[in-house]
Amino acid sequence: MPKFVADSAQSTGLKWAAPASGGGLTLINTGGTTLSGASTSITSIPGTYKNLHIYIENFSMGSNNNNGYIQFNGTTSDNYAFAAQRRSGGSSEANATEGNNDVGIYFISVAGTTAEGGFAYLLVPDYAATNHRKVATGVSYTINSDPTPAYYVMNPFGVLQNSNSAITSVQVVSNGTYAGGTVYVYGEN
Amino acid sequence: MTNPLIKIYDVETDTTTEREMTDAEFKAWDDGNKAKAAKDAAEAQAKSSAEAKLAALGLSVADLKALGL
Repeated sequence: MPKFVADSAQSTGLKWAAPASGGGLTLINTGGTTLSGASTSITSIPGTYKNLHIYIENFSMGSNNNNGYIQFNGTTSDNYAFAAQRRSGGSSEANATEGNNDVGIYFISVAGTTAEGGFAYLLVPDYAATNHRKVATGVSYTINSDPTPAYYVMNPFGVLQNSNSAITSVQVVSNGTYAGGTVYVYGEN
Repeated sequence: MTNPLIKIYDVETDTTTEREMTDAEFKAWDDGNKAKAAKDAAEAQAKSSAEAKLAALGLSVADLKALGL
């Protein structure tokens, strides 16, 4: 959208100008990708953007105790460190958690219940760089239906991935299965 | 027994593939999930133990939170 900028050459001292380029989001995986099975992978992500934004919308899990996590480049064991704050509406408690040498970035971690209808957002800045390890930050929530009444769990987190490799693929994984949900991967310049 | 299903969307070719995990992929997935489950169980055990020690002192988690701990 054009905006007013100062210009002394104008009689009014102002003129309309086009905004600086950049900042827009481009959907990389056309139309989004429906989650199913144990893992959904978005591959051949181009390195032409500055940041990645990952949206996981309306996800639900196949059964009780199914968690959800994200991996980069399919790397698994001993590759992620995280710090998170888990806020459970049911028990009104806020639990800080941290981990090292984990297999992924956990955005759902449930016990004895099934996560339904949740949303997760993850920002991965400078994902294509090869001169530093990768960091990511995000927030997610789930609706947990057992015990009733259903309660919400909110989970903000920060992550370090122990790798200098450019990220070219993103995996949305579960220890069980996904019953639904869609992942959208956006690039930002 | 069949391995779990995975889906792969390739941005470059705009194609989606669904297939079973290979045995190597299944082992990596299964090992990771077992490691996470073991870690969660150890954390739950440590939390339960700490809460029992607090209770023996006449304290609760709520008491610690009230102190900003």
